[in-house]
This record gives sequence, C-alpha cells and structure tokens, in this order.
Amino acid sequence: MTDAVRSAAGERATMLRRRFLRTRTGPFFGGLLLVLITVTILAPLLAPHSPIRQYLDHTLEPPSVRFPLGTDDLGRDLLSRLLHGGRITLLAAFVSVGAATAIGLPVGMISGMLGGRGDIWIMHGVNALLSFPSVLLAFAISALIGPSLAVVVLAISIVFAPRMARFARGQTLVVRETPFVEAARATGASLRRLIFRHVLPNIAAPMLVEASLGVGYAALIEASISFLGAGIQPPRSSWGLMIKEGFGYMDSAPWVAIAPGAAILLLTLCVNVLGDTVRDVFDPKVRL
Amino acid sequence: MIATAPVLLLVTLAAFMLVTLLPGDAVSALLASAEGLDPRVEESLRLQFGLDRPLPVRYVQWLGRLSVGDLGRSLLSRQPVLDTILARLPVTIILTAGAIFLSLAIGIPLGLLAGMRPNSLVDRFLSAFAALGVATPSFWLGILLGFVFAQSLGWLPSFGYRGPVENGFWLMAQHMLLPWLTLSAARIVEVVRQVRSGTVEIMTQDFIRTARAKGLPERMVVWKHALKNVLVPVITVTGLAVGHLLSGAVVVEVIFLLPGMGTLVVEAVLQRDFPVTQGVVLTGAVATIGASLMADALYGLLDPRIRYD
Amino acid sequence: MIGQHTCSLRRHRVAFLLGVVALTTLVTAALPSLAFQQTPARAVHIRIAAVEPNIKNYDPHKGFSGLEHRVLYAVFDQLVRFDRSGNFVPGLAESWEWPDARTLILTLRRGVKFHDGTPFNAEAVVFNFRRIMNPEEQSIVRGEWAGVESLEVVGEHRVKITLREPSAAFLASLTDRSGMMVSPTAVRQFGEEFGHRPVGAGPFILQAWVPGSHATLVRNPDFWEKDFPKADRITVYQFKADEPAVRGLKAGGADFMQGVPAKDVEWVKASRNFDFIDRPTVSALIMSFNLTRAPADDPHFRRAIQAAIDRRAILTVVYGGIGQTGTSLLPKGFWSVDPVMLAPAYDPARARHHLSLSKYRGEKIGIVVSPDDRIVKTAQLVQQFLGDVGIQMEITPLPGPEQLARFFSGREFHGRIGGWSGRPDPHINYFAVIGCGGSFNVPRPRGFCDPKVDELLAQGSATRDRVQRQKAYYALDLHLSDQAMVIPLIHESWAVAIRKNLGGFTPYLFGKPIYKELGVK
Repeated sequence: MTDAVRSAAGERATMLRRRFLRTRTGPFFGGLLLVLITVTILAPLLAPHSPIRQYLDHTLEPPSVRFPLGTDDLGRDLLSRLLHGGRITLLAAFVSVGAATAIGLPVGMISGMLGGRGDIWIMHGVNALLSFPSVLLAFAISALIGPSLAVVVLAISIVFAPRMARFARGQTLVVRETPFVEAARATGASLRRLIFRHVLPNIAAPMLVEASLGVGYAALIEASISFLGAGIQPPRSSWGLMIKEGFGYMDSAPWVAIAPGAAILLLTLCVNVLGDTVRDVFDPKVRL
Repeated sequence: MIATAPVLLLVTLAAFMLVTLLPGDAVSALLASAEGLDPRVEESLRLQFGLDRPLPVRYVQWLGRLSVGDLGRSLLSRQPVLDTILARLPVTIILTAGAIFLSLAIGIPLGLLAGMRPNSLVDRFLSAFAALGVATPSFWLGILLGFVFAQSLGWLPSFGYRGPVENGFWLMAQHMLLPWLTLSAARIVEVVRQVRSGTVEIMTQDFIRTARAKGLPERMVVWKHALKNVLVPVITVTGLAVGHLLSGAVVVEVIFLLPGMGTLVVEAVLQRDFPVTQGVVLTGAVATIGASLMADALYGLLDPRIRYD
Repeated sequence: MIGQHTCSLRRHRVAFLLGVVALTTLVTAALPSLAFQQTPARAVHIRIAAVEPNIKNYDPHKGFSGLEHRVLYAVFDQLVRFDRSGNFVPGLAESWEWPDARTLILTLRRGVKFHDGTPFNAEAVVFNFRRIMNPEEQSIVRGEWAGVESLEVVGEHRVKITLREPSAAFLASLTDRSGMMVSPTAVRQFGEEFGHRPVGAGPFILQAWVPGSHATLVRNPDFWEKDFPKADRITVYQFKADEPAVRGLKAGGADFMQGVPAKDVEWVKASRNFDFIDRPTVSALIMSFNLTRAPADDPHFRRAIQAAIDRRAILTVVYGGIGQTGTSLLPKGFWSVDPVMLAPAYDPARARHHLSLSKYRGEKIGIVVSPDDRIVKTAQLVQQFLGDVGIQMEITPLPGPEQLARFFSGREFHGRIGGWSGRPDPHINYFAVIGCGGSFNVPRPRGFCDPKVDELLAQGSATRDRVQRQKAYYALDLHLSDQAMVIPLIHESWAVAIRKNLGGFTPYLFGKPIYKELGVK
C-alpha cells in the first residue's frame, strides 16, 4: 500500500467518524449499547445476589433497598436475574448472528462472484430457507432437538444464515460491476484473491450494519421461542423467559414482567437506531 | 422474481430433513405416547412408516404422496394432517389479512402526514414512536393490550375466535381486534417509515413540482400523484412481509387462543407430532412463497413503468 | 427487485391469478369444517376456561392424556361410577355380581341409547371390550385387560367376564376409560375419525369441536338420568397456558375454571362475581427414580433427598397453600392411607447424615420434569433444597413423549418430578408407579422389582375386603417411605372459580370435573 492510499483511507475514516459524531443519536445509542453490554458482561460482579437463589420468605416483593427491582414468585432477586439473563440473551443474539454471518458471508460472496448456474442454485437454496417463517422454524428446530442455550443459538443461526447470505450476495454483485474488480478479473485473478482483496473489504461495512440489525431481531426471536417454552430453560434466565415467568403477575406484581420487557426493548432500540445511523453515515447521499 | 418451482422443491427437501434428521423419529414418539404398547408392534410400525428404506427413497416417496395432497396422519389425533391444517388455516388467514389491512390503513396516512412535513413535530414524534414499535416484542405488546383493553377496561373479549360465517363479521372483528393490533404493530411502523421516505423523495421530484405549478391544490397533488408512486412499493413490500407476519401469528394465536396454524404447531412440536409439525412448517413456507409471488405480480400490474416496457 | 422490471406483464397476471385461485380454494375448502349451530335462546350456557395445551383424541380407548377426561366424562357414560367417597355405584351397569372371585357378571341398564340412536346392550358392551383387547387397535388401556380370560354375552343385557386371577382392581378400571362405552355403529362408520367425532351414551353430545380453541357440548335429551345434565350447553375453551385462561375469567369471558393458579386464588376469593371452592384430589406430585441407576439405587441417597425437601415451603410458595403435603401416593383422607402416618420430616441435618453414608460423590444428578409451570417451579425449589445439603441436581423439562422415550426407557436421567394423575383404586396407583412391570416403573418394561412391594401389592389385591386391603396398603406406605422409593411431594387441591349464580358443582376426589352437575343455582 502506498502512502497516498493509506492517507486516503485515514482521511475517509476521519470523515466517517465526524459524520457519525454529528448524528448525536449514533453516539448516544452506541454508548447506551456499550453500557448494556458491559453491565451484562460484568453481571457476576455487579449482581447483588445469585440469580437462582430463592429467598422463600421474600416472594413477589416490590423494589426495595435489598432487592432493587423487587423479587419474583420464587423470591429471586430480579436485578440479579436481569443482569445474568441479559448475558444469556446477548450471548445468544451475538453468537447466533456471528455464526450466521460466518456461514452466510462466504456463501453469499462465492455465489455472487460465481454467477451462472452455481449462483442460481445457491440462491434457490437460500430462498427456500428464507421462505420458512423465522419464529416457526427456530421454534420447531429448538423444540425438536431439545431446548438448551446451544440449541437456541443453533436454531437462530439457521434462521439467519440465509439472510446474511442473500445480503452478502447482493452487495457482492454491486462490487463485481465496479471497474477495479472488472480489471482484476480481466487479469485472471483467482476467485479467492478477488474475494479477499476486493469484495470483502468493500462489503465489510454494510455487512456489519446488517449483522447489527440482526442482533436486535435475534434477541426478539430468542424471547419469542423462550416465551413459547422451547428456548432457555429454567432455572437459567433470559429476558424472554423472565417475561414468560412474569406475565401472570401483571395485575398483582407488574415489576416482574416490566423490567425484562423494558430491557429487551432497550437492547433492540439501541441496536436498530445504531444500525440505521451507521448506514446513513456510510451513505454519501444522506446529509447529516 | 423467485423461480418458484426449484425453490418449492428445496422447501420440501428442507421440511423433510427437519423431521428426519432431528433426534427421535415418528415411531418412537408414537410408541412413547401409547402406554402398554407391544414392543413387537414397533417393528411393524417401522415397516409401515417405511423407516427401513434409505433416505432418498423415503424422500421421493414422501414427495409423491405430497403431490396428491397426502401429508400423512397426526400421530396423536390420528387425523389426516391436511384436514387438520385446512381446519386451522382460515383463522391464520383472517388474522394475517386483518393485520395487513390495519397496517396499511393506519400506516399510510401516518406516513404521508410525516412525509409531507419532514422534521416537523409530528414527524419527530412518529419516528420516535416507530423506533419503539419495532423494538417491542409482539407477545409483550399482546399481553399489555389484553391486560388494558380486556381485563381492566372490559371493552373487548380477551380470547376466543368467532368464525365470520356463523357469527357475522362484527362479532368476529370484536374478537380479532386485539390480535390484529398486536400483530400489525410492527408492520404499521414499517409502513409509516416506508411511506414517509417515499413521500419525502417524491415531493421534491419534477412531476409534483409541475403539478403544483399548474396550480392544483396541494392536497390533490399529494393524493393523485404521490400516493400512487408511494403505494406500489408499500404493497409489494407488504407481500414480502407475510413471512414475518406468520412468525408473529404463532405467538399472537397462543396469547389470544385462536385456533390457527400457530397454536397447532405449538401443540404438535411440544408433543412430537412429526407429521403435523412438518405439515405446518411446509404450509408456512408455501404461504410465504405464494404471498411474494402475488406481490411480484401486483407490482407488475400496478407499476405503470412496466406497462410501457 | 431490479429484475422485476424485465418480467413480462402476462407472466405477472398468470402468477397473480394462480395465487388468488390457490388462496380462495384453501379458504373455501376450510370454512365448512368450522361451521356449528347457534344456541337456543335463554338456554343455560356455561363457558369453561380450561388449560389443556395438548393435542386431543376423544376416543376413550385410544386417547392418551388425563386432560381428555373432562370431555370424555361428558360424552361417554361409564359402566360403573364412583361416588364422592370412593364407593362403586351403578352407571350403565345397573348392577354386578361376583359368583366367584374370578367371575364378574354385569347387568346392563335397559332402554339406554347412544347419541346416534343405536341401542346400548350386551353386544355393544362386548364390542367395546373386544376393541380394547384387540392388539391391532393399540388401545391405551389394553394393559388393564391382560388378566381377562374370556367374555360372554349371557342375555340381551347381561355380560360375563372371566378373569385369570382374582383382582380387586378390575371393577375400578370400569369406572375409567375401560368402562366408557362407545357406539359400535359410530366406530364402524367413522373408523380413525372417531376420536374427532365421538359418539357415546353420556349426558352431553359433542356438537362441535374446534381443536386448539374450544369444544361445544349440548345436552343429550335422552340421557337416562332425567335430572342431568343441568346445563343446556357447555363450551370448554382449551387454553395453552394459565395466563390467558385466567385473563378470560377476569375479563368476564368464562364462568368456571378448575385449577386456578395459586397467585390468582386471592383474586377469586375477593371477587364479587365468583365463588371459590377447593377440594383435595387423588392426584399427586411425586419425585420418582430410576431405582436401578447409581446413585438413585442407594436407599441412603434417596433418604437424604427425602429429608432435604421442605414440602411445606413448596406448598406455600408454589401452590399458595392450597392442598396437602405428601405422605403417600394417595392423599390423607383416602381410605387406603393411614390417617396417623407422618410425612417425612424436613431435616437438613439428617439429610447430610444419610448423604455421608451414601455412595453419592458430588456428581450431577439429572431430574426430568414435565414442562408445566407449577412442576417446573417445584423442581427449582427442590433443586435449591438439595443444593443446600450438597446434592447437585440438574433440571431438564421434557414433554411427555420424550420423557417416556428418554427417562422411562432407563436410558437417561436419575429421576423425575411430575404429576401422577391418580387412579380410583390404590392397587392401580401403586402397581403403575412401583409394581414389577408397572407402566411408570423405570426402566421399562419391568422396572425395579422389589419383592416386598410385590408381596404387599398381591395382598392388597387378593381380596375385596377393605380392612384387609387397608392393612396391606398401610404397610406398603411405610415400606416405601422407609426406602424412600417414591417421594410424594404435594397433593394438589383443585382450586375452582365458579360464577356466583352457578352451583351444583362439588369436585370428586379424582380431580376431574363432572360437567353434567354444573348448572344454575
């Protein structure tokens, strides 16, 4: 890489950073997301109690100094469950989207660069998988294998991989038509080299945005299938499971279901707004 | 446009593999659910289900039966799967169709409102609301709506389904209003977003300016020109969103006790009724493909540009 | 969507039309199956909120779930019934006699008709019995008929059953699925469909059933008991979970619910619209083991578990104090349970002592549970109690079929916490759970065979004399408790909410509601 290219890249990065900071919503929700992630990662240090310890004399207590968010029907500290549950929800969402990207990205890139019959059949497969309603498919897979954290992650990954593949292919097709890739192809560069040198660097940013939007959706799927009884299993907690456990207490002890509901809402809100903002930042047509 | 035939073929393959490759098979589920069954029966059942044959053969045979509408029988109720699904399908269709209608009826006017006055107070309020709407889990919303409108205020029934044929439209609508709202919430938000951005874009375009210059009142300009150009993509995207709606329908049906495909799949999956699970998953996929096919076709019919190709 | 512009118009039209045609066909094909008739005006119509998340089959001989009984009792009359104190009373069989210990002669009620108008007679009864005994029919209750040697029609309204060995429990089975009489004509006509179009001789006719939603029962005008049913029409809403069902009750959409969750009991009691009833049942929540698998094969280990569990806390926290703590498979108050027998004490010190004598070495023990809200909560409490004395327990919620395939087969897990729905005769209960060859004894098909258990079971079943039988079951309970072979946790009481203008409902010990008695006060 020449100095000129390097400085051009540096300039672009600075420009993007400036654009990002100018949005105000971006840094705000980005910061919030960081706080959310940090707090759940540090759950074992921050949680005042064990998430599964039942204080049987303190069931369904409203928020107090000892139990800052109150307790649930088995007398467990809701704040501790929320923090530990968040770990599982976030873990499930990030890992499954990560796995889906790891599968979908190469498939999409190869399909897009191959073109022809290979591309057509790969896309048929992707479209076939995409036509299964996501919650239905994730629920069926998870329940039939036997629900556990790993299975939930697997189920969501299967739902998301074709999405990522289709997106990656679409992006690849755009890059494929650009003059520098055409030129490289004309000189007989290998598929491998084309993908690594040209396609990947150019589609990495939009892929990242797409994946981050997927995290919010993955969290919602996890919550839905836990709610249907085929997700995370007690005594472990996840936010979806906590809503399921709490929703019978709407009139007598609303805090049990409200806290996890608000937590999911906050997570998906942060991820979505951040994703939208970053997309705008990368889009030179959008004025910020 | 998706090439439908090969995709459908691959869909059947995926549905076949879903219940074939996962642990446990139909016969052990059947044996386990029938107490005191003779173990010798197992072998004959395996033969009857054809589990002794190699996978590709079983797939082709299954496909052959599928092509004449034979989805097998439920292991538990012993009813033909096709009948079971046909009995449940109208409920899910009514639920989904109503949600689509609501999302367009509410979403389009709001989107126009926001798009005609970008960055106004209304616009900002709507975008904030939209961001929240997308992030809300639908079951959470359903529970809240049920709690407020059925239990606390007593305005609407909290559960149950009344078929329109026997009970008339209004009794049905009364029972479906909360499910419709729950299911359409996320779609409404999407429609608002799309209509808004479409409107913003179109308001700055030449033909609108021309119309304005001709002295047509602004309201008419928007309705006659902008609406048409905004509507076409909204309708097609709605067709593509049917898969999402079917996903949401699973949870909504469970919350409001609607005897549709969602409650059916929950029953079937949790009790390992493999043929029913397979049937529902397959129907969900076929419905999604059918809807996007229709969306494509509608797009062709509505979009004037194609007409002059 | 770029590619769409290139498609020709004709292709779009064709695809669109195809789509419309397909959808219309689906809708019209499906609509007729949902149609059902209207209620007559001013009739007594009772709406029941029931939590029955399972797929159902209303063929009494082929169904598989205790939750089907609510509708089965309404549609099918039994040959013999139980009264509220657990005594046999006549049903479709007007009387019965035992000429010797192996022969039972049933005299059938005259003038009874099935819902389809066909007569109920000795031939119909023998058809029912043969159907159950035919291996090809795969009846769920075929096991109850293993001891039957022969059947004989001895008159238009008399049937003779010859047993291989004396059995005190056989008559009891005629109060349950085995005694529910189906119309032979309807069975022949509907075949496999019968489970969806059940025809019996019971107080109600199943007028419509929308699986996943509700079952509509209308009164059978020809029912032989002229005073029943009290209601003209009963709609049973079959919810998937407690919460929507309770919400239905609170929002006024239902008049009756049996099994109100503990947390809503206070609401029902305070309600101006509902009365609260609570009665014990024979159902039990038990912890059972694979007694052939270490460390659950060690009595010390099981005694440690038995002493570590605080049943009172489970009753309070999970069941809202409604019900009783378990001492036996059957509740206190049932004739076969010793009224002075004490429940195993909650004693963590004793538990640790037993644990130190056992071969348990800190490994995780796997407990499978049914995915039912109350059971999963109970299991979490048990997990903490065991953890407190040093036993690591892992909970795996599994639906019924999978439990059978993975736990009852003996392949996985050490034990189970789950419901035992309770049968009308003690022998059936004990035999199924702990008898050699019992269907709930793990691992199937024989299970763990304890000579003393089998000896006491044989004693209890050899005679119909209650005092003699009591002696055997008192001793059996002591033995089971000493060996901690089964740990009874809770006997649930069904908490019932019933609208104030309704009455006539008194729950039976067997926990299953008898809808024919529900009516306006």
